[in-house]
Amino acid sequence: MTGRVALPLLLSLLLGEARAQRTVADPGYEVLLPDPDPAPAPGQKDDAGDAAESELTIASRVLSAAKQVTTVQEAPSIVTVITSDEIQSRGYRFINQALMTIPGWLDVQGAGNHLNIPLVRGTAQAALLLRDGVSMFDPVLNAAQFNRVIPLETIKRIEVVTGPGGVLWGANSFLGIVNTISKEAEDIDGIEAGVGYGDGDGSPQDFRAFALFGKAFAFRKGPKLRIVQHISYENYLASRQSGPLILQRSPAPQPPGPTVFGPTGSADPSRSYIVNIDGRISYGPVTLSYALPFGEMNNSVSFGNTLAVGPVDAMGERTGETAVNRLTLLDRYLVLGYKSRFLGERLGLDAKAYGIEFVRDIGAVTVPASAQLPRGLSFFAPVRSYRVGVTFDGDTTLPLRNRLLFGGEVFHEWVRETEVRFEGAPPERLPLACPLAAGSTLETPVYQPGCPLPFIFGASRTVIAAYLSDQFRPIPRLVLDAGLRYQVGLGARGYRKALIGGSGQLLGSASVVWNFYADMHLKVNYATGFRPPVFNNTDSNGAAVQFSGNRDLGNERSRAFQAEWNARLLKNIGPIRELQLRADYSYTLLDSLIIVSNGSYSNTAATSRNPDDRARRAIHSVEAAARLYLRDHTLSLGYTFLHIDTNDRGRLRSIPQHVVSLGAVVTLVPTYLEANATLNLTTGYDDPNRLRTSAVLLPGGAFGTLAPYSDLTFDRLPPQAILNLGLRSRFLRNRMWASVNFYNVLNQAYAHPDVFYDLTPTLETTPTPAPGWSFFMQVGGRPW
Amino acid sequence: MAGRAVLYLSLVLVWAGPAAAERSVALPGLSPAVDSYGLVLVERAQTARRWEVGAQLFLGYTHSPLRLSLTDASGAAGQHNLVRGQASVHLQLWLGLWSFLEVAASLRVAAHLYDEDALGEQVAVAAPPSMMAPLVPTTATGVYAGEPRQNTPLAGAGPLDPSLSVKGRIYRGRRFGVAALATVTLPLGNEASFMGEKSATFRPLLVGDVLLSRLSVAANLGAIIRAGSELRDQGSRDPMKPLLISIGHELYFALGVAARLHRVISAGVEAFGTAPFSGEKTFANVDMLGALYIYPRETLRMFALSGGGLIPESPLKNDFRVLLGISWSPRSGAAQPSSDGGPP
Repeated sequence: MTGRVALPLLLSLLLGEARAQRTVADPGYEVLLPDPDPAPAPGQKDDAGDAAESELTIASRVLSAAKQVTTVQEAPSIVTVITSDEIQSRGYRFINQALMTIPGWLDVQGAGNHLNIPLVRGTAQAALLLRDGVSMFDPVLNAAQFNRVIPLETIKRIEVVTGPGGVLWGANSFLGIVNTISKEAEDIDGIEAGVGYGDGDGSPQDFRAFALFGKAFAFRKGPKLRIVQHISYENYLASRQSGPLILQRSPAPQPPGPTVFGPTGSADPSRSYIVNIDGRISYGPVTLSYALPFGEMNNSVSFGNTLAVGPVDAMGERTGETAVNRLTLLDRYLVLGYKSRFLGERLGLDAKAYGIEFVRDIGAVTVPASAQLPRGLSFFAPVRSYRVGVTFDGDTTLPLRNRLLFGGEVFHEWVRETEVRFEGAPPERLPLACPLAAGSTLETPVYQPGCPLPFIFGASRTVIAAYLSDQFRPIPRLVLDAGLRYQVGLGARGYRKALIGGSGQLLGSASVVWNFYADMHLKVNYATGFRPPVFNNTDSNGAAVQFSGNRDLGNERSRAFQAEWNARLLKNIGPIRELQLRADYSYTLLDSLIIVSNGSYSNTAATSRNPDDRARRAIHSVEAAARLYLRDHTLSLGYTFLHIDTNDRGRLRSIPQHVVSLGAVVTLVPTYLEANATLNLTTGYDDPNRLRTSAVLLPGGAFGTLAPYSDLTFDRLPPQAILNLGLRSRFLRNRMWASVNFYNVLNQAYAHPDVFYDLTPTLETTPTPAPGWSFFMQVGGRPW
Repeated sequence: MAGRAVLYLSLVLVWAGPAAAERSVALPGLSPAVDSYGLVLVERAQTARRWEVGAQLFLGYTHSPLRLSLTDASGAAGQHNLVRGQASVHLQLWLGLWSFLEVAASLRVAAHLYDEDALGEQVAVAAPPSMMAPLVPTTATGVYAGEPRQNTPLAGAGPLDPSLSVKGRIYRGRRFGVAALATVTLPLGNEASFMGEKSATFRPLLVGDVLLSRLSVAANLGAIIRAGSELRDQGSRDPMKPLLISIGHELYFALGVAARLHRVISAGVEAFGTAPFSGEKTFANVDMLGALYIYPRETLRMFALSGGGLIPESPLKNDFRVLLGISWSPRSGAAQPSSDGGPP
């Protein structure tokens, strides 16, 4: 208690003046924003209309993506907010389904079906995932947990920034930020529980149950104790996929070679499960939050779009065993935070200390089982990486209508040397230099079983960063914002080729937001970001199953010039409660992109041998969104136009140019029953692949087909119409609910965009299949 | 200026020639009236009030919309229902700009059932490899041979071409009305899977209607201006690959009659069709459907239609169609039944 008094006192002395005399009610300076949840004035009746208005206003608030409380309309960047109510009413099961509806974002899968990669402005692995403001960037693979591991029932809101956000968020906020904000104890106030089951080709035999407890305990003295505890369990099969089986290919680091296909078969991956145990305990300004997920996540399609087929007998018949084909992707973390405001609310401090374990457990099918290779060929590499660090953010009000955001961070991240082992084929048959067993000689070689080789070498990096961002409001309707960040990467894998001293990265941003008429704003924004090379780019072992690491890689950099018009119109006119509109144009430049070139990673354009000729990408994008609140109904529209040019591969034709997302939540019986629909439309796009131009005689007399390295095609991936429909009912005064949702109702068989856009396809030579239809029904409630 | 742009567009489309090799043609789908002032498939000479908005949702199914005589792998010709069925969802929105002028947009998606035996194969092995010839070339058969080689099969679902329309009321008397409609469809559908046109199309339409005491009669006459497309028998051993069907510019016509049976129920008959006026191996088509319209609330209209194709010679004659839908306009009485049985 003494400390809480002493700190504000010290700060007030440092800041000088008698500012302590000012109060929240009469601050003596321009209040930038209203209180997040304004209490009704005395005597004011909080009727249904006010409640509805308040709901819309709160939904447009940005609580943390901009590191300050602001509104979607006034935030200096392009921000979208998805609330927990929207998650439920639209029937989203995974975070990517929600992101897909945001203009500029697209849900795709890569590395077969192993990775869910939301594309931002057509760029893969460009989004920074934050859990309550803590970066979950995986320093080895940049494979974020944009998948079913994140339990959506614990999320209060998702705040999404489209465009770079490097000044506030530092490394890896390359083209987008996704901040999931967890529910507080008061949001739950009791126990919530739910259980559900679904099936269908897209998500077979999917069982999921969860329980969520939240309660705030008040004591006679001192602050409240808030406890949130969540546990969930999910057991499922990966999507059903079939196609011609790859019998032989030349995975990395082999030189490109032919791919041999056998008969058509179906994937039968092993069953998957995920257990999530997470929660938070708050006592006054101190919060301890944690997540301890564990499980095994098998997929039906592996690297190179190889189907995960279980073992077969000598006749080529399935034995009934399933195939282990997993990339288990879990983020385990412990965060201790302190957050409070001082000096009559004028100074805010938010400090966090955290430790994160990134589990990236790979057990992938490389060649599926066949009569020639009865158990197939798989490799196993349990990759674990870690990050520990502290972050510090503050905001304060300065004279002359300035508001200053400031802060910094220090963290250390590392990966230990990880071994890869092979199963399914004896070491002597592998196209690798397998290590010899003890006592063996080159004349009579005996190899170590499993051919253990380094998958990735040990690597580490220490990062120190500081930032300042000032918001100046010369007149009430105009906000100017400018910020700077300096970030240094030190240690064995410190930043290379950065702007200052080789290891320091300087970032800047500036914006103007003009409330030019009523609820209409114009926004012009310049933002920068960067993405340092992940350890798998710098320290992968090119003599195993990866491309060679390159320890001389520089940071990838992003810059965006963005303009936005937004408006909130037609408030309470007839049946219309509000119409929200926004239209953005952005020109984004990506520089020093890391690409695969000549068997290794490089920042150099694929068409050049000059190291100074860096790989670049220029993106024109138009993003528009509309949301109409009509009585109890909500209609939404999102539109994205993308035009992307690269300096080494020409026009990026593998990303759809037009994407439309239509959504509706229609109340059928007020307070009891509502229906939802989402229709995602994309125009066609191309995928550079190989053709099967020859039939070949296989051992045993069967014949297969062969796709030589030189037989290329641009597969024309057709336009898509992904329609999701659902019903949700609430009863017993909202204490119970039931829902059923159907996904990909039209059973559109489609393929994901090829994010590599490799014009001489080696990593991905066939279209990457996407899930078919599925349904999920669940019941739940808050009985206590 | 706008008129000149439309003229240029028409000329470009008129002069556009058919492609040499294709694997599909656009199926003649349902083209519902752009607003709920029409019957369902036949437009009426009525427009929305100023700033009036409305929406319509249709669910449709068409059985056997494409039936062709195709040559199979053995060289024998046989009749095949290449597209065995088409299920579709239409979403339409309209907005009145003035009391005499409205704009409308239509989004449509469809799912197809194909006759797998008739499609052919993407990767077919003409002769099995042997010890003497271990490597033999592959080929594509059936409709897959109509395009450069692809790894992607025909799509089972996808968007159809969306459309934008402008409807202007020219004359509206107590009994008689005349309007004009111009629609442009955008080639965003999957033209390689019978789900879209090869290019944008322009569809001018003249609309007339007569309102009698319990009866309304509406007639439409117009054209569909498009780049031609054709489908050839890729399985044929004739090196010229005989033309199976082509689609070019067409005359469009529609006629509908609706009668009021009860305060909330009307019934009617609606027919529409096309007659080609360019291209070879083209076919006329006429569909006739019986309709039931229900008006449960002032702002709501529900309807069900069922019928089928009438021209037996046409490969595009369907066996039957079913259409269910709902119209909703929160500000108007657009869905209200009038004394003539149709919308007011």
